Amino acid sequence: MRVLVVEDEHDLRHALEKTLREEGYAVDGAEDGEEGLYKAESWDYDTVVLDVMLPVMDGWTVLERLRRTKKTPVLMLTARDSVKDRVRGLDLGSDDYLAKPFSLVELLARIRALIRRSAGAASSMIDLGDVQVDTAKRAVFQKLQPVELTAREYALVEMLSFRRGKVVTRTELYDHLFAEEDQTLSNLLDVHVCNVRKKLGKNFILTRRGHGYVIEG
Amino acid sequence: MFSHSIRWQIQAWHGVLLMLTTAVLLVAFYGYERQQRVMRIDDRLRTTLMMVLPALRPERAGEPLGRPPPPMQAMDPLLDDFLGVFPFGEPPDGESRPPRAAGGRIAHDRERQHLKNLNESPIYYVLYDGARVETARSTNAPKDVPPHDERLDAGETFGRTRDGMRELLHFQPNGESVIFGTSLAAVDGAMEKLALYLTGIGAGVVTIGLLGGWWLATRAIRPIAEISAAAEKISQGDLTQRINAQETKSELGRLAVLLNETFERLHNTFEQQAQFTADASHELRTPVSVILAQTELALMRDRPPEEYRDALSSCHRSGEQMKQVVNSLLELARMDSGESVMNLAPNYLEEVVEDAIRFVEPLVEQRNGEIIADLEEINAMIDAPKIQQVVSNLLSNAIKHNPDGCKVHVNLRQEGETATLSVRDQGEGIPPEMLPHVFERFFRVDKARSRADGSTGLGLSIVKAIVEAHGGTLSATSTPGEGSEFIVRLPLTGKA
Repeated sequence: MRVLVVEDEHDLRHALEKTLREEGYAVDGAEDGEEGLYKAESWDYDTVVLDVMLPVMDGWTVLERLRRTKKTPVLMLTARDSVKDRVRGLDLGSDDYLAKPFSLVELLARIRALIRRSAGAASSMIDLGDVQVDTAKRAVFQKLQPVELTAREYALVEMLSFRRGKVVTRTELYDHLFAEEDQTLSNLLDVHVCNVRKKLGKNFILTRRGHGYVIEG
Repeated sequence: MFSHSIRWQIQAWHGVLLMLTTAVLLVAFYGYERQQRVMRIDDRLRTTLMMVLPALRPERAGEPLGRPPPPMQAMDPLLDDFLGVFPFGEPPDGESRPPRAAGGRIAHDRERQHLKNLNESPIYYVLYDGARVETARSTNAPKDVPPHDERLDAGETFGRTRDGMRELLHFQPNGESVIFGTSLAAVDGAMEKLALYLTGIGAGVVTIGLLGGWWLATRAIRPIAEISAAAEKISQGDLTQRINAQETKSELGRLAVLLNETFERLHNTFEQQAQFTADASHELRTPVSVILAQTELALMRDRPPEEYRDALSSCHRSGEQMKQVVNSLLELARMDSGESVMNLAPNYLEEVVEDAIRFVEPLVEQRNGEIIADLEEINAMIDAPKIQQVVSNLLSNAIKHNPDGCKVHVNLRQEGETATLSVRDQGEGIPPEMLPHVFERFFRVDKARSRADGSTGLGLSIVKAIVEAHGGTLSATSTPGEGSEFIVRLPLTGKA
């Protein structure tokens, strides 16, 4: 899952990016509104974390412009949390709102909820028959036994599970699992798929040659 | 509750005054009317007296007054009628009468007849001699008619009222006195009716007056009610309320306009205060967010020492930022409350400016810039540390906004009784629409850049407050792309 963090306060952006990376997200950062809008329009992020008070172009404008082309879930971060501001943000098309200072744990939970909702899943548990994916705990169970996956492997499983029965192209997987600064070697995805198959069974992820990968639920 | 209402107070006073006025008027009218009626009775008595007086002349005193008169014309006993027989205006005294030898006898007979007729009329008479002994009386006279108390000159009359009777006393030249009287019963009856009638009128007038007063009081008080309703809402915290003042000419209209203006100012002050608080909390929330996020992240799992070091230095930077904001806020608050008093003392301004230049030297070196100073020697009443703060603040602003390696010009001139200090940079300038706001608290022309510099957005507000506390002015001009100039004008003698 790929997340964009638009925040001008360097130390805060750094902490957010690091936290999200440790949770297995592919993270891009932007330090002003213009850069944030450019990136948000260029990629299909799973969530954008957007500060309101930004230099060059403020968060409201970024949100308004982004909504003309994309439905990307947006979580607004702001130091101003009057009712007026919250209503304005939600009306402009933001999906959630978090006032500074906030807890990282809450931010992560809200991001998970946003991704789940945009995938159309109401519950945080995805049942794939033999295998269950708990998106809240970011854990995978096989025959009720927990399976150890790396963050990147989990992200791959989660993304395919949210869209089970549908073929996800390699490009889509690359876009959502790797950030700009990640070294995206062409066979990196194949390595992750191979590792997941080793842990969860050869037929857990199926290859549609020339198209991509799919998990049949 | 009622007794405190202005309307009820007005109504009560109005009612009391109205009743008093009406009562005085009606009582006066009643008294006048009664007096008029008594005077009319007096006139009748006097007329009768004059008509029958010759019959009571001394030469007739010996004759029995009660003798039947010779048959003459039929006399109506009613007073009005016998006034008709003897038209008023006939001279009552003897001199103008026909000579006694010619027709006096006949005339006296006629008068004696009148005297007799009085017995049948409402008018009675009693005659007293000089020793106040009754000598004659009409048959209809009441029993106890007291004689006169004091003598008056002959020919004079005076009236008296006693026991429902009106009497006229007349003194004869020979010392006799005669009393003519009549009952006041008819007058009293009429006056009683009049009193009833007047009471009715009075009650009506007071009722109408009270109703009118109530209506007037309601009308007069309506604007006050509107004002107090609006004021009540405002006191409950709704500062957007205004009094609906339709007309602004009357006293209450002017009051409403005045109150509206006051409410407006209050509203603006509150909004500014709220804005200031929101800005201040925003300035503090950002560093708090950093500290919380960094510590939370650091504590999520075990990490190598350099990551803890990064987190701690990030927290330290945020703490420094908060310290600056808090110090600036406290300084501004002290200025606002007047707690921060300027210690004015004679100082050489150019020395203070030189100190400030030395203070910002490290920043100048860091930016590879240069400060070009052209300073006149000026002695002025200033608070030296505060003015040094002003100058170094303006200088570091100028350096920060200058491109690396550019110059900052500082000029100090004396113009009359004013010292003028200007600080000019060669930076990007300030857009004209932002220029009026640069002294506002937390205002930043370029938010990102100022944050990165560790600025609080309060520097120029503090500079302005210090300059104004000296009785001086601070102004700014700017040409975008060429640079900005900040000008401080200080009175040499301190507070002007």
